[in-house]
Parts: sequence; C-alpha cells; structure tokens
Amino acid sequence: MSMKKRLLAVAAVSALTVATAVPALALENEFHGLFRLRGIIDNFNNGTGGKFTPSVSSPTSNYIEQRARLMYIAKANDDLKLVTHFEIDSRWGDNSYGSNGTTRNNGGAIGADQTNLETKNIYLDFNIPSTPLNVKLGIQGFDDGYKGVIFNNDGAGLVAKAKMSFGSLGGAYFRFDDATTGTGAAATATAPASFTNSYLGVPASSTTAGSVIQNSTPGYLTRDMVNLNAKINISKAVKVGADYYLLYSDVLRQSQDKTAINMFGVNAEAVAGPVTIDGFVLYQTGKLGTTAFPGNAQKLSSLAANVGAKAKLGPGTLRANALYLSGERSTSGSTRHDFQTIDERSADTPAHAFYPSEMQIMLRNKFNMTSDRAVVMDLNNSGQGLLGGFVGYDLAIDKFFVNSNVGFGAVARDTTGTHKGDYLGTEINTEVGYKLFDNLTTSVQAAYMVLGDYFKPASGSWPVNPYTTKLQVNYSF
Amino acid sequence: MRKIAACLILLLSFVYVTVGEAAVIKAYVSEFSVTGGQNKDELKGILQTLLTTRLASDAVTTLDNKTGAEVIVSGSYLQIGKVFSIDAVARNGRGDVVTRSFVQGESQDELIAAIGKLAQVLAEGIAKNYGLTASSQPAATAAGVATVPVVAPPADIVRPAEIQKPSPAATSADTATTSEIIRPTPVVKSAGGGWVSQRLTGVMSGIALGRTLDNGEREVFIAGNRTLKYYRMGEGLKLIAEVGTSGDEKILGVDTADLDGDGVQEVYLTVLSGETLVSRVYLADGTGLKKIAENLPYFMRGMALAGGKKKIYVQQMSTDADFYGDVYELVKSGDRYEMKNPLKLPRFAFLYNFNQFKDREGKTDFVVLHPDGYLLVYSAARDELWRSNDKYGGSELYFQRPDMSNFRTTGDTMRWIFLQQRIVVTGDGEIVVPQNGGFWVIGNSRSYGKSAVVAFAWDGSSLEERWRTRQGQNYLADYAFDEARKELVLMEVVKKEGLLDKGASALYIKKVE
Repeated sequence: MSMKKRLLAVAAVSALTVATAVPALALENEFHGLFRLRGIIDNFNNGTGGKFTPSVSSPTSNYIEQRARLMYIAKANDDLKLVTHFEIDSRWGDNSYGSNGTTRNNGGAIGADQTNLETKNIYLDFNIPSTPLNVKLGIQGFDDGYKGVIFNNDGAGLVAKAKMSFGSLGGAYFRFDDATTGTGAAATATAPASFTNSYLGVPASSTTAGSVIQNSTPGYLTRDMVNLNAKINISKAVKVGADYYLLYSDVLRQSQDKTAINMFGVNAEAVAGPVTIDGFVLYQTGKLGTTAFPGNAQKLSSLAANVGAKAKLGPGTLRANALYLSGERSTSGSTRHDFQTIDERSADTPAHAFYPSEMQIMLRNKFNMTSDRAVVMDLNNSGQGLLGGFVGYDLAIDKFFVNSNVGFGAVARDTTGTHKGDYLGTEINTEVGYKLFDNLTTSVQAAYMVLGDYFKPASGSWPVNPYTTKLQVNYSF
Repeated sequence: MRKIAACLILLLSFVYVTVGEAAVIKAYVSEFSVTGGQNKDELKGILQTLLTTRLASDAVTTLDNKTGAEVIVSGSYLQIGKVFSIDAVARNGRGDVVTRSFVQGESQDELIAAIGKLAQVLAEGIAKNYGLTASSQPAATAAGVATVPVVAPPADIVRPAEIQKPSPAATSADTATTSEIIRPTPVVKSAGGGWVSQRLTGVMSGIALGRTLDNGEREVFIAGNRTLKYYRMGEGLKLIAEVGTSGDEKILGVDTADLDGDGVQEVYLTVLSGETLVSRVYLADGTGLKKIAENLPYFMRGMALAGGKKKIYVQQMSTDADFYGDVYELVKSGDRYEMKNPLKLPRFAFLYNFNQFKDREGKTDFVVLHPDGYLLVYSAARDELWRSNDKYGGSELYFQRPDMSNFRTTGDTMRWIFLQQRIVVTGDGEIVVPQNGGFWVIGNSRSYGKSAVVAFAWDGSSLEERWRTRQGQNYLADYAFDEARKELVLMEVVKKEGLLDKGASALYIKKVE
C-alpha cells in the first residue's frame, strides 16, 4: 500500500471512529436570521458598491434595497455542529427572471423570481474531545482582533482556539485564492484585471492588469493567510493579546516576485470604572511583489495603530476612536511604508473595514449592504493611509435611541503631492431609532460630509459635499 | 296458517326467554382517580367514558349510573414520565372483588388501545367470575384468577409497585403516601382552584418572597425590566412601594435573603447598565424600600443549594465573558458585601441555571439546565451522569452586550444573552424545575405560551418525575417556592408586550398538597 493510500485509510478510520464515538442524540436545529431594508435618498450612493469620489455633479439617487440572511445550525451534540449561512440581496426594481444576465443581488423587479441565493458560510464547528481545543473548519467569517483593519470578511479556512487558564491560544489558516479557480485565469492564460497587486493585498494605485498565469495546477498560485494568536486575561478587567499574521501570495509568481507580509500586533483592553479603553499596534514587514520591480520585490515597513475609549457620560455612552494607518509618498521606491490591506478580487472591494468609526460617508458603515460605498473605501487609501478621529455619543431611553457621531479624516501621506491639503473632511451623522419589538428596530439615518482641502480643485468649482439619508428597518433573530 | 303462526309465536317466546335467561351483568364504571400527567380533571371523565363504552359486551352491559348496577368498576390512572398504568377493579354489590387487571403503556399514543385491552380483560373476568362471587366464593380466589391476564408485557415497563423511592431524602417526602410511591392526589389545584392576583400592568420578569407577617400576609417583591415593586400579599396584592431604574439600566433579577441574620430579608436586585453591573440591595421596612447598597458588580441569585439555607450567590462579568469565573457566595460584613467560598461549576453551568442536591451516598451532585433546555445531572466530580430527553426551563429574559466582532455574521450589533429559570431544591430533596414551552423559540426570538412546574427526585441513576402542575396557558417568567406553606408562587405573563401595549402579568399560587 502506498503512503498516500495508507494516509487515506487512516483518515477514513479516524473519521469513522469520531463518528461512532459521538453519542446518539437527536439533531438540535438552530435558526438565526436577518432582514434589513433601507430606503436611501442621497447624492452619495448609486445602488452598487465602491469608492466614492466627490465631484461637482452628484445626482440625487433614491431607491430601496433589502437583505435577508438565514442561518441554519445543525447541532449533532454538544461538541459538533454544522453552520450554514445564506444571503439574498435585492434592490427594488432591479431585475427578475435573470434577464440582466446576473444572479446575485437581484430579484427585486416585477415578477421577482430570480436565482439569487448566496452561500455565505458553511463550516463545521467542533471541539476536540478531552482537550480545550475548538476548531472551525470551512467557509466562515473571521474576527482579526484588530477591529477589522486586517481581515473582516468570509473565507475558506481553519480556525482553532484553545481556552487556557490564562486566556486562549489560537491559530488560523485561510486560503483566499487559488489562481486556477479565478474567472478566466485558466481559460485565457491571462490574469483578469482583478488579478493585480491589489488582489494580493497591495493598493490599487500600483495595480497592473494582464499578468500572465501559465500554470493551472490547483495550489500552485495561491493567496493565503496564517495567524497565530495568544490572549491573556490579566484580570477580569484587563486583557492583552498578541498576534502574528502572514499574508502570502504567489498568484503572479510568473511575472513578479512573491508577496510575503509578516505582521506583528499587540492589542489590549482595560476597564477602569465606567471607562473602557482599548487599542492596538500593528507593524508590517516583509516583501511586496510588484510588476514595477520584477525579481526585486519592494521591502515593507508600515504601521497601523488605534486607541479607543468609551465611558458612561450622563444618560448615555461617549465613544472615541483614533486610527492611524501609515501612507507612502512614493509607491515606486524600494521600500514601502503604506499599510497593506486585504481586498477581495475586485481591487475596490475591501475585505477589511473599521466599523467602530461609525461613519456613514467617510468610511464604510456597518449597516451597508449592496450599496457599500465610502470616500475611503480601502483603508490603504491608494497608498496614502489614513489619520482619523471619531467621536460619538449613544443615548438609549427605553425603546428610543439616538446615536450621533462626528469624524475627522486626513490622508497620512499624499502620494501624488498634487492635492491642496491632506484633510479629507469632516462628517457629522446621526441615527434616531425606535425598537418596535425586541428584535425589530426602525431608524432614520442622516449624514453630511464637509469636504476638506484634499478635494479642493486646482481651479473651478469645489465638488459637492456628499450627504445621505436613510430609513432603515432591521429585524434579526 | 294458524299452525305456522303458533309456531312463530312459540319460537319468539323461546328466543325471548332465552335472552332473558342469558343474565347480562349490569356494570357501572365510576370516575377514575388520576395521578401524574397533565389535564388530570379532563382525564378522569375521559377514562370513565372510554372504559364504559368498551366494557359493554355480550355478557356485560354498562349503565350510566350506579342504580341497578351489579358490578362497580373503579379505576386509577398513574403516569410517571411518559409511562402510564391503568389499574381497574370490579366489585360486586357486597364489595367482593370480581376481577381486577391493569394495562400499561409507554406514551399517550397507546392510551386508547390500552383501554380497549383492559375492557376486554375486565369483561371476560366479570363474565367468568361474577357468578362465582355471587355464590359466595372467596373473593381472593376470584382475584387470583383475574390477575393472570396481564395485557402489557411487564419486562420493559415500570410498574408502580416496582418503583423504588429515590433517596432517603426523597423518602421523607412520601411519608404521607401509603401504597403508592407517587402522591395519589394531584399536586396542584386546578386553575380555578388556586389563588390568582389581580392583573398587574406590564410584563414582569422576577419574583421573590419576603417575610410572612403576623397576620399571615406575605411580602412579595416583583421586578420588571425597569421597576421593582413591593407588595403585601393577602386577599390580593397591595402595592406598598415602587422604585425604578434610570437610563439604560435593566433589571435582571430579584431575590431575597437574610444575610446579616437580623430577621429581616434584604432584597437583592441585579441591575445592568450598558455593560456594567450596578446591582443594588434594598431593605423593605414595611412602608417602603430603602437602598442600603448600590453599584455591586455582580449578577446575583438567591438559592438554597442542596435544599440548605437560602443564600445569595454571585458571579461577575468580564470584558470577554458574560459570566466570568466561579460562582461565589455573597457575604455581608457590616455595610459591605464581599465574595467568599467560590464554587466551581460543571460544564454549561452558570449562576442562573444550576442547583445542587444530595444523592443516596450524601454526595453533592449538580443539576443544570443545558443551553438547549435539557436537564443535566453532574456528579460531585463534575462528570455528566444523566440528561433528560425532554426540555425544561426557558426564559425570555435577556441582556445584551455589544458584539461588533460577529456583526458581519449576525447582522446584530448586540449579542443576546438569555438567563435561565431558577432550579429549586427542597429540603426533601425534590428538584423543582419550570418548563416553558408553546409558541416558538428561534434564535433570539423567544415567545413561550405554555408552562408547568415539574418536580423530580434522583433515584441514583436518573431523575424521576414526581409531580407536575397542570400546564398553564401563560409564559412563566419566574417563581418562588414557599416550602413552609408548600406553595408555588408563580409569576406569569398573561399578555405579551405589544407595540402600544405594556402587556400584563399575574401572580398565581398553587398548593403542593
């Protein structure tokens, strides 16, 4: 018997052993879900996602979009469950019967019938018997421990976590991409436009489309992420964490150097009376393969840092967050200092976010659905980084709530040097809502951003300041 | 022609005389006694009707009343868990046993078929033995004959006589019984027979009992999400005082205990403000509620572990864990409160879902409500010994904490943490557990519509049901067990909160006889 066959046999026997060792209990079914509807009137959204670039002409849009999510969890026993999660998005009036040739995010037009069910998560969640180890295996969401600035998305991978007396130890592996599965990659032998540096975790500004992929062997051209982490509970009020992340990509190995970014981070949270303070520091080093330097990858030295606080103040809660992501004045040098972010295959579809800012225009908002837009969509911000300060106040009186925020943003480095200033602008926003039922909330949201000197034109009229108003209904269970 | 007519008349006369001489036995089935199970009152009449109709045969006819009856059939229905046993005895006019028999089944689905089999056996026994008893044959002989036809196979079902008392502690609970282990009288009165308070505005979530006054009235403390009400319970509920919470504070529980031993029970109110526990303690002086401590960073619950003295136990909250670390006993030292005597809990247990009981060997075991509702028993070494097949507990009371790390998955900025029903262990070793059920429970949406309270005893291997209340049509929010009076004081939500409606609650008292 070959080694491979032996391994298969051992794996099969192990699987059977585990299966038969499971107590014969009835399957426990668990359901969760979400329905969110947003009516939007603004000059900011356009029914799709992507980076918003202010302009002198910003037409007013008005439309309604909705999202439904259904999660079914099949619990075989206390230590084993299968988690499945599905999503259906539509914009009222968009399409039906597949007539526009697309499937996802459709089905809101007359007739409605549409193949539009998306599979968001499917993974096994199980505990290893007689150990403190929990494993999640499959397509799942991931919490990076750094407020989402590294990776805040779904992916296929393995996440393991062991609860220890002092806190926890964990690790994760995700395969973000396998080039042979990329649209058009094998068929055309040419990378699609999205197979660019941005796809590897490098800003869109340095992208070069059309790189050649000549190997269709699965696993040969991949983008992967590895994480090792430890969390220590110093007390019930103080905890610290440390992480190592490796972002690796050789998708474009045949046209440029491999990318291997090592990331070292620490985070902490402490509660002192009515005040909670948290924050993190992330340092990136390693090499960045780009077509600009074939055979001689750029070196990387970049930084991200955050400090946040919230405290009871009067009848509500005061929140504050400051975020810094380093930028690079010239992305063509041998060393890069702009903080590298992870995007999906589309260069302008971030797989990260900084939701604690609670911005609605400047940065991505947590409630965004298909209309996921922001002035700073990718926190790398085209290599310019970000320096932001955000303050908010949440007030809840019985079933009423008011959440108000003000945010200030600037680029950390003006890459082109052509702008009149670094200041992106000031956003003020508010959300006023009422809990109709425990699970059903309705709210009105409004935001306005005063553009800063970064958008000041060399001549002529200023771009129009963006605004947005939304009526939202949110039901979750 | 006359000859033919005469023959027919003679033939008819012969037939009439023959039928008249067949001696059809007139039987009356009296109302059954019912022990265990649900809907006991209805079951009494249903069983009587079922057996009456099925007992009728060529040899036995059944009457609607006792008048003229030659045989009186009396029966009893006993249910333990899902297993039931129906025992019936037929006696003649002198009270001699004509025949007796029983049938058993493992679920209600088998009830009607079992009645049919029982009727068949009884009818045969009556037809066979009535003449013998009528001619002064010893009743024992007839009974001995009648016990032969056992309908249900006896090997795989529990017969009442085979039931062992679960523990010495539990044995003392049965001193009032004689031949049967399970109490022969239904534990609680019917819905119309118990005490019901006036309708209270609002959905209430917690209840605790205070002192019993000289005039027999009792102090009762009832908590809603944002209010604590101090009542005196006599003929009705009389509101003495009320305090509220402010801002985003939510009340998660109310309990009473006399921690300083001054004879007056303090009122312990668990309050959460945002993510901070700001629990407080009041003293009820007969006219109002005086706050004697506040901003205590604990979840608090009053429990009599293993049926011992009632104390207040606490657990903390951390930045990560909703229920952090061990459970501690809250000790009052002067004006200060501090945590002492940590108790390490078994898996799935936290402050609000466990209690302890003593087993036969005197070891202290744990009883825990699993997150999915199953009742778990752990040994003193925290090893799982048993889990129920049915679900118990169930609470609509919850608190929320921000959970942005899972927002992408849940779509909810908050994590929902549901509390659980209290488990009471009596001094007799009975384990009292509520059972909410009904409408539906999906994810974080919970809406219970039925409830009962069930008592168990540990027999060394499993929890055996000892009694249960009749199922009510309301969600049971919380309850207290007045062991001195043997009364269950139930806080039920009689009308759910609506968009413009605050809902309503009511207090029920059910006597555990």
